[in-house]
Amino acid sequence: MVKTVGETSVARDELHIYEAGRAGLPRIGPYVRDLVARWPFAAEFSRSSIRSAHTDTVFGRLWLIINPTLLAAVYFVLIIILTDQEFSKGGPTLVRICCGLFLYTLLQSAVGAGAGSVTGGGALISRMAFPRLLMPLAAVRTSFFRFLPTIPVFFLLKILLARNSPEGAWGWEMLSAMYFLVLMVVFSAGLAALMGAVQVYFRDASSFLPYFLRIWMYLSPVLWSGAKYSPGGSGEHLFGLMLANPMFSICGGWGQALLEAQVPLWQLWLAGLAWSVVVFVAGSLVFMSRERDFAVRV
Amino acid sequence: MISLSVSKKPTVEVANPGNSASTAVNQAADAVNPAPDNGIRRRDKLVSSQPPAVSIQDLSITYRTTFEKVPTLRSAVVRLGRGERAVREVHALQHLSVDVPVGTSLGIIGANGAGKSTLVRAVAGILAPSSGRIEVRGRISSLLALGVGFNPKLTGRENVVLGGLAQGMSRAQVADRAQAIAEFADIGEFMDMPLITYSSGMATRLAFAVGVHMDPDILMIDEALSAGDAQFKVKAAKKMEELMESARAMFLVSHSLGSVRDMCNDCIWIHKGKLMLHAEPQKCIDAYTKFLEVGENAFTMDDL
Repeated sequence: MVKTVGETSVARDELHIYEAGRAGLPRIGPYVRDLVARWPFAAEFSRSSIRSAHTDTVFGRLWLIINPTLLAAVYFVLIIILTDQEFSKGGPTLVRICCGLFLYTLLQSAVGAGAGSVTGGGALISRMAFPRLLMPLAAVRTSFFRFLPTIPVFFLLKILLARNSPEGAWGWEMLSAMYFLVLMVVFSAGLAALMGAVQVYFRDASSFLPYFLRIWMYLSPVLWSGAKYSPGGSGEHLFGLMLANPMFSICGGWGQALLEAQVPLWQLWLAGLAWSVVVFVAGSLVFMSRERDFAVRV
Repeated sequence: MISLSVSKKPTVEVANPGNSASTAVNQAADAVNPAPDNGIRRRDKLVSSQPPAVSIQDLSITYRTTFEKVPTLRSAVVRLGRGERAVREVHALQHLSVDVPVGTSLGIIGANGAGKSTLVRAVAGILAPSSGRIEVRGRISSLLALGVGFNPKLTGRENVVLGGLAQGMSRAQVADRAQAIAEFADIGEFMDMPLITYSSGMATRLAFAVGVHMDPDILMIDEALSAGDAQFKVKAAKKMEELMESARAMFLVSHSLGSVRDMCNDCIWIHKGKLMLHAEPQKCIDAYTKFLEVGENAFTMDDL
């Protein structure tokens, strides 16, 4: 245990320099290295928040499934009544709703938790030095692990309720959904970081967020199919406009792959990728440029 | 040059910390001037050509806080309508220069609101300087960290793991130390109980145990010992002495002037963000105590 001063100076000669500048970007290279090196912390932080919310117990996990399924049932009833369908023939509709809604719940919970991640960081933010971007990223990780149990539920419903319908197709094309899931995670991370930073300055931003996210959901092919606005559909002249909505590509591609077992249109792959990268980079940069200010503001 | 290097502000020797030539000049200066009476304490351990463990150069920190306790979009819009700006500046530290050579344990004393904690948090890299520069050589472990715990719903052990990982340790390193930390903290079965059930003394013990087991090069202790009992204070003091053999420097922020006198070999006194005195602990404590007795009016800051 006892070391001489000379030994320590050789062994650990890390030099940290802190210079003036409240705002402004830190140097990206070292920041990213530090971020990667401390990822175990974010993972543990996310894991411990899952633990403290009891989602690792049987009923806790069950709730992760029941909650979005009940929500899907609510939308199902609404849609069936509004479109004057018969309940007995609504199976495929329910499968479609679950497909989109489960993925969209990932975005909603990631952005919601990410928005509160800095202001809720408390002692961690005010008393420790680490790349703050780990906070929203940990929130996204938590949301992702809460999303995972809903995937088997979707497949079960698809097997049970969507036989002999377009939504009941199976095939290797379904694997392309994984690409859109990755896009969703990246996109959520960018938006979570952005909202996390915004929340520090405007504490009521999170009150508007659920409404904003819900309206966005109705505008995106979560509850409805994007095929109508794709080339060949009745609203194809709006396709270009639709691509301006990131969720049109990401949720649309996800649904097309998982429900119809089709390889999504190349425009969706491209637009989704562009949106995810842009939002992730922009969100992270905004966050990083403000993060030195957080310790004072939180 | 010689008169500069031993003058009040140690900025000159700070400016080229890696330059052995300038250090040599300093040593020569010290030899010429063996007993400087201007407040700078001779530090015997600086004789080597090592750069200082921590070098604070003309550091100023200004907080810009909003008027409202909770800044909201609504109030921002209302303010915009009235054409107001809701920023208030707090000058927490002003043009502070301190050099902390290897082997120093630096006591930081001062009244409430003097900027002691701000200084420690700036050195730990939590707060960004508004102007000036801080150079830190080595890994910092601050006892600021676990004082209140990260997640009160988690057990002490889980908080220890979180704290260690946040400090940048690997999972294996943390696991290695977890048992030693539990033994040192000596809080028995509470180690596996949620932090919310701890008394403030237990939280202090755990926080201290974590801080000293992180293999720190630079240890920062901010009022950490105030809640521990007498037995733990003795144990803590012993551990800190042991750490001083391996650590490069220690910062102790305390209102307990006695522990500053006992544990530190150098001391600064800060008042309202300004460095009042940098001297040996006894001198600082005497000046500070006198200042508290006489009051600010009778004690012009320019004298120091």
